[in-house]
Parts: sequence; C-alpha cells; structure tokens
Amino acid sequence: MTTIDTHVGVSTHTTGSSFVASVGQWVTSSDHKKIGRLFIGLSLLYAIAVAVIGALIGFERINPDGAQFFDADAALQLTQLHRHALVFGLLAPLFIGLAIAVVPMQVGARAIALPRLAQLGFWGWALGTDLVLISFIANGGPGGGSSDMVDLYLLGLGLSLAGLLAGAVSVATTVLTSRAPGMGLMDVPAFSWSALMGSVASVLSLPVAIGTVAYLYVDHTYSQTAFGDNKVINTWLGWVYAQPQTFVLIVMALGVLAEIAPVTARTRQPLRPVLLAGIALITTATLGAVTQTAHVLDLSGTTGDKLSSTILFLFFNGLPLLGALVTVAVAMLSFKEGRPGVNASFAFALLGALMLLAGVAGSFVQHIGDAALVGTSFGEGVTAYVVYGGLLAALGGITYWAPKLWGVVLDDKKVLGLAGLGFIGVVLASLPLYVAGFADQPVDAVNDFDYSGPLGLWNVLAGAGSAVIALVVLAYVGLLFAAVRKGAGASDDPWDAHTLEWSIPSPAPADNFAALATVSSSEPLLDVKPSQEVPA
Amino acid sequence: MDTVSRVKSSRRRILGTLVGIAASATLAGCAQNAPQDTWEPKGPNAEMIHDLDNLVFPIAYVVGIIVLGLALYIFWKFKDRGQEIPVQGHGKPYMEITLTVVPALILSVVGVFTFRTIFDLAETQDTEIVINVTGQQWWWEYDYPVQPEHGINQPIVTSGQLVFPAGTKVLLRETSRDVIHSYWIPALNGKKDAVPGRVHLLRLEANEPGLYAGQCAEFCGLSHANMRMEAIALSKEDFAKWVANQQKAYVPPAAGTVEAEGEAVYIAQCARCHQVNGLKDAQGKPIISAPDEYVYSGAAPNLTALMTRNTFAGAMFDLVNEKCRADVWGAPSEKFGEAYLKGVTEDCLNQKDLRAWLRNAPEMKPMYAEPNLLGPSDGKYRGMPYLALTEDDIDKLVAYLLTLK
Amino acid sequence: MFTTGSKYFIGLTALSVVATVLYLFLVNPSDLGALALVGLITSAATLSGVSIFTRDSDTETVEQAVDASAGPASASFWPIVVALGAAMVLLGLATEPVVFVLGIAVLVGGGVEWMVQGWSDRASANAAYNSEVRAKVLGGIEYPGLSAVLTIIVAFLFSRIFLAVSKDAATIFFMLVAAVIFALGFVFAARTDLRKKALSVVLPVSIALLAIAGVVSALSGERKQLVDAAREDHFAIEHRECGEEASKYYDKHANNRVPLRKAVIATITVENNEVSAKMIGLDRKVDTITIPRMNSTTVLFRNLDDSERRLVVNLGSAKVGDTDVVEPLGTCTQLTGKGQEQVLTLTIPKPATAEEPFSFTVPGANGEIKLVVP
Repeated sequence: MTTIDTHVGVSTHTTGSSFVASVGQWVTSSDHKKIGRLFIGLSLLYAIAVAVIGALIGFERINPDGAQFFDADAALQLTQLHRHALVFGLLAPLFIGLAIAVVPMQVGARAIALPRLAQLGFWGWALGTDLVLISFIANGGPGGGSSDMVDLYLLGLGLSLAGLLAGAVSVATTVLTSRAPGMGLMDVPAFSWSALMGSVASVLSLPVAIGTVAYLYVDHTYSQTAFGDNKVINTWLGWVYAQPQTFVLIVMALGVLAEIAPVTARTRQPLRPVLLAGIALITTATLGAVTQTAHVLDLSGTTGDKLSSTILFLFFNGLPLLGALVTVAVAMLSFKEGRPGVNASFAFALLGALMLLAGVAGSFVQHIGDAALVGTSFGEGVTAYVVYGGLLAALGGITYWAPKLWGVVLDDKKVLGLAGLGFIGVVLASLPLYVAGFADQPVDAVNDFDYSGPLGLWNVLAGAGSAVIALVVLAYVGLLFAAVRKGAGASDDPWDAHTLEWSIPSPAPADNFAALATVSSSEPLLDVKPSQEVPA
Repeated sequence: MDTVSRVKSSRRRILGTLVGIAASATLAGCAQNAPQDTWEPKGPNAEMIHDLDNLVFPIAYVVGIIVLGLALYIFWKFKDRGQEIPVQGHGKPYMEITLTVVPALILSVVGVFTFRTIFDLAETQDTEIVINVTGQQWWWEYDYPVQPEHGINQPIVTSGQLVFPAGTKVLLRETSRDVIHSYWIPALNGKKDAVPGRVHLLRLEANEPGLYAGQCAEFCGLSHANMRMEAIALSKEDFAKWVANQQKAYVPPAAGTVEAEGEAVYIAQCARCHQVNGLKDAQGKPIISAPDEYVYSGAAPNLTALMTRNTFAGAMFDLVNEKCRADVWGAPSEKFGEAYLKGVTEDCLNQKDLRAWLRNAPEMKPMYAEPNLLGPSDGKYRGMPYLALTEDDIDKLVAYLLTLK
Repeated sequence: MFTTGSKYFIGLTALSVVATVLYLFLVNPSDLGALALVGLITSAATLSGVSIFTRDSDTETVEQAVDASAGPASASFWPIVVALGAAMVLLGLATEPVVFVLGIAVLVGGGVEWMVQGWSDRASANAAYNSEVRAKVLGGIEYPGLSAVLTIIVAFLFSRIFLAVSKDAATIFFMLVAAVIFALGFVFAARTDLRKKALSVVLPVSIALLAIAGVVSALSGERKQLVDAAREDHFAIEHRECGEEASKYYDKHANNRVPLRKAVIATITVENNEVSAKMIGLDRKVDTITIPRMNSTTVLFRNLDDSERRLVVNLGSAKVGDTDVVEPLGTCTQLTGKGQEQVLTLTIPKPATAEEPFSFTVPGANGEIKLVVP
C-alpha cells in the first residue's frame, strides 16, 4: 500500500515585498529550488554569451588576416575563454543547478542535504567565474599578457570548480541519505539516479582538476619552471575542458531523457535495472578524466604495442560510449512498450541525447590515431556536440519541471519549435567543425592557417549555428519570463507523471512535503492512479 | 610606681629628647669643616640668596615666635578644667580681616625681594663663559664649547671637577642623559634640576680661587648619594694654563715601556667606552669610543687629561692621596691654583682606591653593573662593569693612566 | 547482501583497479594519471565501505527517515559572505595584498558566524529561542565589529575627501561639518521628541552624502600637490631630499619628531640669505654649536626670508649595510615659510671625523654653522 500526501502548501511566491527584501531573500535563501534556479538562470545567461563568442570565432576564421572582430593577440585568449565558458559557465552549472532544484523533491525529501553548502556552492561558482571573466578582460587567462591576471584566471577557475564541487556534494548526499521511507536506491527516479552518478563522478574528478589548478598556480606564480609559461597552461589544464571530463557532466542530460521518455510514453520504464546500469557506466569517464591524458588508439609498432593501445583506448573511451548507448536505447524502449507520442520537453531531451551521442561517438573516433584528428577542430566539434547537446537536454528538463519550479507550463508548440531550431543550431555549430577537422583545421586557433576554399563555408556554418543557439536560448528565456509574468497556471501533475514531486502543489512549497510519503516502487504515483496506465 | 609618677617620668624623657635634638642642631651650626654650608656664600649668586635669607629669616623668626607663643598661651589658658563651654558665635570680622591682611603684607614684602632675587639670578645677558653640564647615573660631564676669547679652540670634555675662572660670570647649560638630576654647589648658587630633553641655565661665579663642593640634589637612583661634584675656581691666568693643558696634543708612551703596554690594555679594555682624545690604533686611525653601545646613558667619562683632576668615579673617590689632597684643600686662595695645577703625580696618586676600582668597580659603587640586573636598561650598564683585569694589567693601566696629564 | 549503492561503488573500485593495472603495465607506473587512479581506488573503496555499512541509508518508516524529514534550513547570509571572502582572498593573491588580508578577515568572520548559526539552529525546536541564543553569543562581537567596520569606512571616505580637496578648503569644510554635527547633536539632545524621526532621516542622508562625496573624491583623484609629489617619487623610501626642493609641495623624509620648543639649545636663523646662529644663554651670534654627545638636543630653525627654506644637518657619511654604497647621513626640517619656525631634535652618538666635520646648512642660503660633538 502506498500512501501519498498530496497536501496543498503555501506558495513560495513573494508578492508585495520590496526589491531589496526580495534580493535579500535570494541571497540568503537555503531553499534548494531557489539555489537551483540561480544556477540555471546564470548558466543560461552564460549560454547566450558563449554562443555569441562561438559565432564570433566562426566568422573570424573566414578571414583571420582581416581581423574583423578581434586582433590576432586576442585569438588564443578568446578560444580559451570559449572553452572555459562552454564547460564551466554552461554545461556543469546547468545540470548541477537542475539537480539541486529537482532531486530533493524527486526523492521525497523536505529539503536538500547540506543546504548552506549548496548555497556556498552557487556563490563560490558565480564569484569564481566572475574572477575568470575579470582576468580575461584584464588581459589574463591562458595566453594572457598580464602575469597577475593569468594567476587570477587560475585562482578564479579553482574557486568556481570548488563551488561546483560543493553543489555536487550536496546533490549526492541528498540522494544517498535523504530519500523518502521505502525508497531504496534502486527505486530512485532515473533523473535522481543520474544526478547521483554525475555528482559522484564530479566529486571524484573535480578535486583532481582543482589540484591541477593549484600546482599550475604555484608554478606560474613562483617559478614557471615545471609547467611552462602562460601560453601553455592549457596543455596541463586542457583535459578539464575536454572529453572524457565533459562526459562526467552529461550523465544528468541522459538522465533527463530517461526520466521524460516513460512519462511521455505513459508506461513504466522497461528494463529499469539495465537503464540504471547504463547511466552508471557513463561515469567510467571519470577514470579517463583523472588520468589527465587522451588515450589515443595507435596502431603502429609491434603487436604488443597495438594491443596495449587498443586495450587502453577501449577501456577509457569505449566504456562511456557503451553506457551512453545503453542508456538512450533503454530509455527509448519505453515507446515500444507504451504509446508513442511527443511533447516539447521530450523533444528537447531526445534531440539533446542524440547530439550527445554524436559527441561521444565523435570523441571515440577522434581518439583513433589513424584518423589524425587530435589537435584539429574536430575536438571543438565534439565539445560543441556535447555541450550544446547537454544544453538541449537541460532545456527539456527545465520545460518538464517548470510547473514545480515556477508554477508554469510553457506553450508546448512554441517550445517544440525552439527544440527543432535548437537541433538545427547544434548540428550547424558542431558538424562543420568535424568536417573542418578532417581538413586539418587546427584546434583552438584562428591564425596561421589557410581558411580559403570550402573551409570558409564550414566555419561560416559553425558560426551561424552558434548564433542560432544564442537566439534559441534567448527566445526560451523570453518564453519562460513571459509565462512567469503571466502567473501560475500549472496543475499539480500536468504530465501525468510517475514520481513524488508531482504529488505536491505547483509551484512547490518551501518545505516540499508537509508530511513524508512512504513509497514501495520506483513509480509511486502510478501505483495510486493505475487506471491511467497503459497496459504493458 | 603610681600612674601619676609614671606620667611625669615619661614626660621628662620626652622633654630630654627634644632638648637633646635642639642642642645638637644648634651646635652643628658651629662645624668648621662643612664645605656644603649654605650660610657661607663664596660668590655673588650665593650672596644674593644669602642676602635674601638675611631679610626673610628674621621676619620668619619673629612671626614664628609670635605664633608659637600665642598657641602655647591659648593651650594653657583654655585648657579643659571642667568650665562651661563658651558661646559659639559666628566670629569677629575685624579680627579675621586683620589676621588675613597682616600675613599678606608680610608675604608681599618678602615676595618683592624674593622675586627680585630670582630674576637677578636668572640674568644671563652678561655671561662671560659657557659650560655644558650633563648629568647621568652617577656622574657629571662638563664640556666646554669653543670660545676663543678664553683660549678654548677645540671642545674640552672633562668630568668630576668643574674648572672655571674666578671672578667670571659662568653660565652652566644643564641637561641630563637619563633621569632627572640636580646640580648644586651651595657656596656658589642654589639648586637647578638637570632634566632629560631640556636645557636649564645656572649661573656660577666665585669671588676667589678655591674648591667648592656639591652634591646631586635630586634622587636619581642607587648611587645618588655618591654623585658628587667639585667646582674648582682658578685665577684667570691659572685657568688659561688649565685650558692650554687640556688642549695639548696626545703624546703616546714610548714603545717598549710599561706605559705603552698599559696603552694596549687600555685600548683593549677601556677605549670602547672611555674617550682619550688623540689615541690611535695600530693602523693610525683615531679611536672613537662607543659608550652609546654599552652604557645606558650613552656616555662614559672622557679620560683625556684624567690626572689633572683630583677625583674619579663621579667625584666619589679621591684620585690623590690624603696628604696631597690636604695640600690642595688647605692652600690659601692665592696659592690654590698652583697647588691644583700640579695635578696628580706618581707620589700623590691614590693607588689603593684606583686599583680597587679597576679590580672590581661595581663593588666600590652600587651601579646595577651586574649582568643579571640589566633587564630594565636593555642589557646596557649604568656604570663601569667588572672587567676581570689581572693584577699585571692593572699595574700597566695605572702606569698608563699616570701619563694622561 | 550488497545494496544497489554499494554495488555501484564496488564496481567503480574494481574498474579503478583495472585502470591502475593497465597504467602500471601499459603506460607508465610513475605517470600522474596512475597516481590519480590510486586516489580514485581509495575514494571509491571508502564509499563502497560506507555504502555497505549504512545499507544505502535505506529507511522503511517515516520515523526512521530523519534526513528526509529535516525541514529546510533557515535563511543564511553567511554562505555568500564566505564565498565573497574566498573570492577576495584569491583576488588579493593575484593583485593587492590588502585585498587578501581583507578577504581573510571576511572569510574568518563569515565562517565563525556560519558555525554559530549552525550551532544555534540546532539548539532547540523553537526558532525564536534559537535566534536569541545566537544573538547572545555573537551580539557582543557583532555590534562592536560592525561599528568598527563602519567607522573605518567613514574614516576612509573622509580621508579621500581630505586628499582630494585643497588644504585650505579641507580646513574650512571640516570646520563646517564639525559645527553642523555639533548643532545637530545639540538639537537632538534638547528635543527628545524629534530624535527618532529626525535621526532616521538625517543619518541615512548624511551617510549617503558622505558616500557620494567620498566616492567622487576617490574617483577624481588626489589633489595636484599630492599627485605631483607622487610623480616626483617623494613617497619612495630612497627619496631623501634635504637639498633645494625639486617640488615645492611635500617632503616625507624630513625629521618628523615633535620636539620641545621650550628647550632649544640653539636657534639658527636665515635672514637676507645669510645663515646665523645663537645659542641659549648667550646674546651673540656664534659660528659653532656644541651639543653633548648622545643626548637628545633640540635646535630651532627660523626663516625670515621670503622663499621657503629648510635646515639641513650634515652628519658625515656611512656605508649602506654591507654594500660599498656610501650615503650621506643627516636629516632636515620640512620646508619652512617666511616667519615660520621648525625644530630639529638630534641625538648624535659619536663625534665627527676630521675629514667630514658636522655642520648645519640651509640650501639656497649662504653660510654654514659648524656642529661640534665632543
């Protein structure tokens, strides 16, 4: 027997309070939904900015000697800023924020575990990212001309990583310790499971990144003997922005798909244990990440050399790819069992997941030595697929949980349109870079390469893709704003969903559940409304 | 013994004690060997004070006798014999006014003369020679700024005895290097405090050549009682000789002599604090002492012409033996200069005290010179420390010091 | 036996071991990656142990689910303060040490506040009582601390204004400000009924005015004299300017002691471009001033000429530290206008050498007074 409390709580809307009081509330709040929304909001702002930078880089590559947008000296700094903002301004905080906002509700907790740590996490990440931006503006960052500002870049990066780490610790602890009675780890919703996996993987890999930053800072400040000067910082730090570290951050993106797919198909998730295992398998990316090396398949040399290279390649690059494939495949099985259908959140999540697969698979290809893609813009294409794919999936998640976070349901058709446009944008922003990679266009560079011929076209397309993504995010944020301004209108369970967060009012009250629910399956809501279930 | 007789006997004892004290105080005034007697002025400044005393004291005596007599009369007249308590009235305004006005008038008369004397004593416009006097624990340093009219063409630094020309208006510029001291030669003028960071002026003038003793008059630490001074007035001719002698060039002892060995000991042991003008090291470089590094006050006596002085260690000890000192002290005024300028010859040297001083100075004069007592002064000595000299060293040193004339 | 969580962590541990073994045999045992993988084994194994030990923190009844039923924490200002402190520390590391020190202060302050709030939140089930407990512990530190910070800010803003406006304007301005404060204080003391309302207007308005004036002053920069002085390197420690002035504004390295004006041993005067001296107690000019060795002695300088002058005492020269650089010794008064006086206090431990006699000079004027230290 499953008992579910569906009490009607007080709305978290603050009406009539002054601007100062409202700012004070946001600054001091330990409500996980507020902290999560802060993460999400700021990440989306960065998403717009980073897409604009991507567009600039694409257009600049048409004719670097013309220097339309920035001078040659700034090229290295701008490409590095682009990489940084893609991964730690957009991808990582967007999912940590979504997890902080949603996971406690999903697992039936009244609050997030370690709420003030989550708060510290947001402000640490935000201020650290500010320091990074200041350092770039003041001629710092990798390749920067001001030594102090290069230091500041490293220190700011360290702080923002520490902030993300704090958020990840908070999320992982919530799933591990604050589940509703009766909810074993096997029963946690797919997104919460992916949040746990992603957070644990972050907790295991981010300290290594912070350690790298620490030794780079000490060396850069005091001697510049062990790790070189400002230009080569990212030789040592590059892995933090590259695959497989980025895979650690997209576990939750596939979790979003796994969460939404069975709800859309109106069925219980088939092969649920396999799905959870698939998600868990993606976190083997951590193993590759902490080694801080790209494991390239090298088929030259003796048989022994070939064998060892193949084993390493398959182990470090193959396992995450396998995990991602399994996850997407099993999630899509819902549609075989349930009834096919589509809505905006599912479309975003699915298209995002496909883009991610393209990225993960691309990374796999990139690490095949004979393809000669290492050091080319193919890597940029992989990052773009992964990050923008993650962005699409996250927008799907935001659309899905908007009723609980803002009390609104977004216009399905409009969002569906944006999903389609976003898909085009991502493909444009990424695929041409794959092609350009085969033409040996260098990675993270603008100058010293002949972009004439078809390459110009590819870069124009990539730039245009980034511009489209910027527009999509802008339009999405506009839609969300408009909906929130219009006011609440969402019912408690608009999607006819399976998990605990849909048992409480929309938007969710500050303390989530007035009384704890006791659950006995992985789809507790379905247990109490069996009539709506499509027979398996 | 009954109570009455016990009271009578104790009264008699108290009375006896009082009479004894009064008699000894009175008889003390008859002392002949009293060099610090305030009633025997030997110069115009002290005479001014003395003249004022001559005016003020008789008045004070008269007032004192009247007040004391009235008090005794009232004690006796109104003794409690069981009579009724008199009417307690408000008082008698006429009497009160009288008793206020009369003392005011007396004080005004005394005040007029006192202020006049104070201003006269502070007069410095007619100064004829200036001498800087610096006090420190526990000795006085005298330095004579360049004054060509007196033949002083280079600064003279000495200690223990202040030498000046008789019949000349001397201006002392007093200051201190550590704590407050007070300079007082009773036969020549009143006291004047020497205060760190300030310059106080004191006029001295002696009518006749002679030796005038004094004593630090402000408690200044452990050896305050041993901080003495002697003012030596010489005739102008004798003073010129003294000045010339102080400025003469240093003559090193002949090589190979015991005095030369003494010079080496001096350089090794004494020169870091005590200056001897003209002393040079083996390279021919002048040796400049550095008492600022070892001594709390930052100074130690300059020994350039040590043997022209009659005292050492803050005038606590005689540098000459008893007989020679008696010759100087006993010399008549006209012969005094000649006796003083002889200085210290080998026969006259007070070997006993000088050697004892060199052997262990802190034992001779309390000075906080123990190494474990230097905390409050940042590890610096307040006087001469124990130097662990051997008897052989002392022999050589004494021989060398005798050459510093 | 093995719960879901522990299965995952054990699997991760096993894969880490495999990865490490691959590294040991196929890559390079001393590689940085191998080291990180060993760390990963340790972390994953620890998590496995914890997961097995706690049985995944599974709960069956509402009573057992303590963590899930814990309500949201109270609002807290301190996480953002701590984050701000950390950002300041890092910014200070890369830029100004003062930012670093301030950051440490913010970090420590925020951390202590955070800890006490965390402790007091658990003191009882009564939120009002808890906040009272917190106030009891920290009120005694918060109020003085906050007022000290406010005082520093006010003083800093005032100092910016001082540095920006001219000397004369500053004097008049602050006389007026002081008068206004005094008058307001008087009014508030006399009219108790006015106090609360008026204060709530006057205080914010004056603080806002001060903040605006301070920020505007700080942005407009220091007054021309100070800017010139900085440009001419007057603030550098090497800048020992005792000669004729390059700038007429400022000299930091003049003797800054406040001596006893009443106990000067000598007065040095410059008149008609000639330097002369008189010593205390002697009513005539002297060309030599003798001062006792190692005794603080004060000399007065009086300028009777139109141009600004300073008195310089030349005390020979000495080597700088262990180097062969020889630098002149001595000090000087600040620049002194017409009819003004300055004093110098000297403590000279040793006499001059024959080659380098001591003297007093006035740059720009004729004559020299010999200084003798016996």
